[in-house]
Amino acid sequence: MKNRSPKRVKRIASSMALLLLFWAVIVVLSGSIGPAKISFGEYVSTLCSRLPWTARADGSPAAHDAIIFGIRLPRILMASLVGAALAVAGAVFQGLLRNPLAEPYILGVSSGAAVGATVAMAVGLAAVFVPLVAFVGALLAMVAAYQLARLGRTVPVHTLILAGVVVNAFLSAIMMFIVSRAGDQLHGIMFWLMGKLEPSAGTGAVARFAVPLVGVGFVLILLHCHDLNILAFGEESAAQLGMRVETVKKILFVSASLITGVVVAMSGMIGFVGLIVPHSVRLVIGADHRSLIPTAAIAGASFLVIADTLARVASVPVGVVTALIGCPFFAYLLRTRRRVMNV
Amino acid sequence: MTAILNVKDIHFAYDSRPVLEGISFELEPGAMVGLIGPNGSGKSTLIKLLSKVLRPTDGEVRFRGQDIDGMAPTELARRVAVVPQHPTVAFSFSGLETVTAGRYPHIGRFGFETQRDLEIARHAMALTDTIHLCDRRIEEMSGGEKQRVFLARAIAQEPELLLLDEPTTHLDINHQIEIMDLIRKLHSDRNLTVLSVTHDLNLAAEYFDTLLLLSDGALAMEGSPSQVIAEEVIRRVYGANVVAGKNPKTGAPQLVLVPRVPPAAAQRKGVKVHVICGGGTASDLLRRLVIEGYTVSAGVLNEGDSDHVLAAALATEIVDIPPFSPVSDSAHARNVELARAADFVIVSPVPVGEGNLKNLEAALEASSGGVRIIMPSSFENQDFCSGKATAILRRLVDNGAELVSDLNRILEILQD
Repeated sequence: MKNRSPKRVKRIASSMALLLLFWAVIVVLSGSIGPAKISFGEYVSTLCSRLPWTARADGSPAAHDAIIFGIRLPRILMASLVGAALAVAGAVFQGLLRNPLAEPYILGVSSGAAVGATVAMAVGLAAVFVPLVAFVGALLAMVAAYQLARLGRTVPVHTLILAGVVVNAFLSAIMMFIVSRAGDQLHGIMFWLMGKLEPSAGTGAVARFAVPLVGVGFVLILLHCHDLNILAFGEESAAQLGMRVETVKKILFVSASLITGVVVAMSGMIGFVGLIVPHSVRLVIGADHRSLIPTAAIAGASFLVIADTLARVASVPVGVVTALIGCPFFAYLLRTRRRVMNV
Repeated sequence: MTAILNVKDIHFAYDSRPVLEGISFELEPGAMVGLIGPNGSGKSTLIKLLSKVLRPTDGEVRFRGQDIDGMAPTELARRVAVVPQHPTVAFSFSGLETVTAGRYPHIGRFGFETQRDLEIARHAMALTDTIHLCDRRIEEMSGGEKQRVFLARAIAQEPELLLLDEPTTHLDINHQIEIMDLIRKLHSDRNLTVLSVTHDLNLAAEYFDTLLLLSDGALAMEGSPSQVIAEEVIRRVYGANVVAGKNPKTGAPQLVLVPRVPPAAAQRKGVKVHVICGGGTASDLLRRLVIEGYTVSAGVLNEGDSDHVLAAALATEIVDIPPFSPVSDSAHARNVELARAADFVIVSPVPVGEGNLKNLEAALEASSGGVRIIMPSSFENQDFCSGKATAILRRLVDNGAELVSDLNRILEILQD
């Protein structure tokens, strides 16, 4: 809640602008890194060649253009989208469930996507359809957890967490079963489960749907940031302050699950972003969701772009990198800052 | 003058367990009403029903004539504010952030407070003496400070009706008085209608104009403090032993607790009870007699006998003999002495054989001397010496001994 002291508003606006700038810089820098040998100078001139006001000197090689604009930047932008979505979903679940362990995968959405993807790959579906089936799996898992926890017209938050655990466990078991039978497709499945941001055959098509869906989710969530603040007082207090608690919970639950499902369907299960980024941001700028959520989005995007760049350089799955760099950083924050949550 | 709140015959049950049955009352504008009652009488449930957290299974609640069931939650929240019993926040908010949350029902969809909202919040904090807690983290505040901040949040809602759920229960006595004084001041300064649940009957008597007494889900009584905070009423509803007095400074009725061990224990010291027992048959009896304050003696007991061990631990006077030996003449003489000097002699269901038959003879001698005897109604089962014990016991009955079968009856007899 912004104390309207002009100093505070200025501080928040400037830090968000700074973060956006930081992200832009990260994006540009990451674009210069990759297996193809493109010098930094060549990279910059390729970038500039796209700007309307810069004349094309003697034309950069078409190959560079294809690599940078066809491969690297799309991947970096996807990483930004996924990172932002996971961080926002994580923040929403933490606020909704009032539980510091909450993260986007807590309610089984990711396992649903994973089972969908695993089934699709094991059955040998064309790569284009894998994300689609994954997304359907995510939605089904979300509905299952919700229905399991529902008590008449209300969905008690504690029951929802447990329902998520049940759904997760069950679907994980199914996934393990399929993997154990998979044989040839095993390698592909494992890489999918660990997260991958390389654009594949289906990604372009999926992105066409993914971006608007995530956009809708973001907008719905932004509209309810203040409600998330009020929910911190408990659902009874929130109701007494005038909130339609069940409606708000439903909207937030669906939005956060939706954006999680979409990005998991596209890029597999990238862990730690949804847990650590919201907590880190909260430790630095506080718990007001109206600033927390937008900041977490940018922070998540930046974090995943960096992680992905490192993953590309080291040739490891991006999920490994997010854990390896995320955890020590978060541990540092925990040691030097105040309490994470007041549960 | 229309009532600000009209509660008509509301019922509520959690699943199948009924909690409130047929509650009806009215709150006039500007009233300061206390809601009291034993645990489980439904007080907190009533607050939830009045703030639309729960819906009554029957009956209706009207705010200024309008059924709250049809009101939008924000509409009701602009008129009715609740101060909860256990203020909690899942995240670390500052004092100002907490109080500003009270502006929620007044803020539009996009959820940003205007300058005016912040002014109202600060004003509420000034009224509750919490302005210095603006930037303090909520988890760093004391119980009293937190309670005042949540009261400020309720004030920031700019309500007409203030509902409080046990605002003083977890506070130190100085904070309790502070909060109640503050509530009363806000009530008169801002013409608020106040309905507050409270556990503390003396605070209730002191601060409220009217009291609603709930008992077992029904309204047992509605009236002024002098009517409701009355001995018979509180004794009946709470089952507590209380004595009514008056606050020496304000004249408000005040209740004083009376512990269950009656002050008459001091008087009981003069009453002497001699117990003829053995073999653990008098363990409960000995304990209760000592607790109730009687002067107890016991005899004749063998050392090592469980009643002996207990009596020694209770520091009663004992006539004793070595283990496994029969009652000696000297012991018997002492026993008779004690029995005759006592006001009551109680014979426990101790098995009587040749070795302790003399104890019954002591009882008989005391009986002839006018001492009241109490003995078990199943005395015929005690004989292990071919009828000699039964013979003596029968003579005790003829002499007027009272036959009892349980401990409480013994205590009753002693009290006459």
